[in-house]
Amino acid sequence: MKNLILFFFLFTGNIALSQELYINTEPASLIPKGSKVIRLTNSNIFLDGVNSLGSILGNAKLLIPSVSYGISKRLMISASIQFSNNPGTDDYPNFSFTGFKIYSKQRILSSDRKKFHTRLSSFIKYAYHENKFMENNLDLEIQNSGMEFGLVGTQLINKLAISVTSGFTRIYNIDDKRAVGESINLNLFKNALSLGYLVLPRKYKSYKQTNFNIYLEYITNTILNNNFPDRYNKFSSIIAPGIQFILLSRSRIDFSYKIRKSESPEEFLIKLTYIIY
Amino acid sequence: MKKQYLFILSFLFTSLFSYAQSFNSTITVNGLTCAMCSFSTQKSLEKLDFIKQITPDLEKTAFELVFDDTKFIDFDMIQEKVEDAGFFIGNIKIHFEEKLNPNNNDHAVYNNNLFHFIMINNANSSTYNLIDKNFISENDFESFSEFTSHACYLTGSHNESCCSNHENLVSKKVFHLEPDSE
Repeated sequence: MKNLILFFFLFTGNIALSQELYINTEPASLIPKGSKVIRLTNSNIFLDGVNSLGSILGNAKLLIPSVSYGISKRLMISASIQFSNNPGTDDYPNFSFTGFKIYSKQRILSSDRKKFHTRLSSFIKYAYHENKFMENNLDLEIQNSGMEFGLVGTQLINKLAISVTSGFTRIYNIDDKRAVGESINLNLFKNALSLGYLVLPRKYKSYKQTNFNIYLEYITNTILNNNFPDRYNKFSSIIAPGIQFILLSRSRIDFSYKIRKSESPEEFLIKLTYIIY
Repeated sequence: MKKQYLFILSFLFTSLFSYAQSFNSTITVNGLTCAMCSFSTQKSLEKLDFIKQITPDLEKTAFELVFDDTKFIDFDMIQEKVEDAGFFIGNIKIHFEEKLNPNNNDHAVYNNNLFHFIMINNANSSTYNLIDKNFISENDFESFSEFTSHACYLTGSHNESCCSNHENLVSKKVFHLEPDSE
């Protein structure tokens, strides 16, 4: 995995064209003031094994509509709701409303030169989720409830985009299976490295040209508590390669495959995005 | 008596240069690295009613703007709209229909805008760079400041104490130009 990241660095270093519209992490840049971004994420988690009743687990399916709004050039907000099924539970619930997220991002620093920019922003997120797809994993994006805040910095040189996210996550109400009915909160140190690389077009001539970008995102969580249920690893990570098409300069279609460390299930997601100015 | 008339005439003439000559502009925007960024910037600029037409040059990250001759052109608003989209103005060039030959510190009204020319070398040109405080670096601003004692370069506005005789203009703003050497 480290070799893959190294390879990607070398690759992007030579061909300096890229993008920062990451699929699984947020860039430090904000959406334009007054614009609305509508997004629909469809995700499949490939659950492995059987549930306690002996049924073979299929895929967990998630549908996450979201809307973002640029309040000012320094502040944006997002809200999303989650619909999902969860084959992992014994009663195998049907597809239903299972959670929501609210997110806000504030610009701290923004500096530009021609085809070069630096952005630093802070963010805060609250998530509430009912379905636990992975018993031995913590993921505020899809299955846990809690708060997260941190900083994200994005550097664009020519068209090469590198983004680093660092934050603190507090996960609420983890079922502490060591004692029946007990729940605990866990603190995590979250880090992410996101790389974006623009493959096409080589030259911009028109808004109608389709852009093709490839991405690699590496997201890690480290549990800060000394004492936590032993079904979790202290360190967990996701590596997510992805591709993206930007159509008519205002809509996007993203594909990403999330590979989780250890024995956690993999995930495939498709994201549709449309900007209303 | 004749001298007096001549004086009044020359006074009117020099202080109220007013032309119905249209001008357009090319703005370069920094930080634009994708068509989506440029499109966002264009959409933001389209909200300004004094811009009639916007033509993007995606490769140069520039926009050619055609203005409405009947309106005051507020370059500060152009800057604000670019920044709303999340980017920054690199520079603003103003293109006149004909070559101008102003002297240093000449003021002239074109359509509804008052311009103040700062001429370091008196080259005549039809293209001028906007050199107001918010559009150039601090160093550049200081070097241009040496060529004018007018307070309007610092304040960006004309009033009783500076650049008088322009009371009937739509806006108090005065923009400063230097000839483009390119």
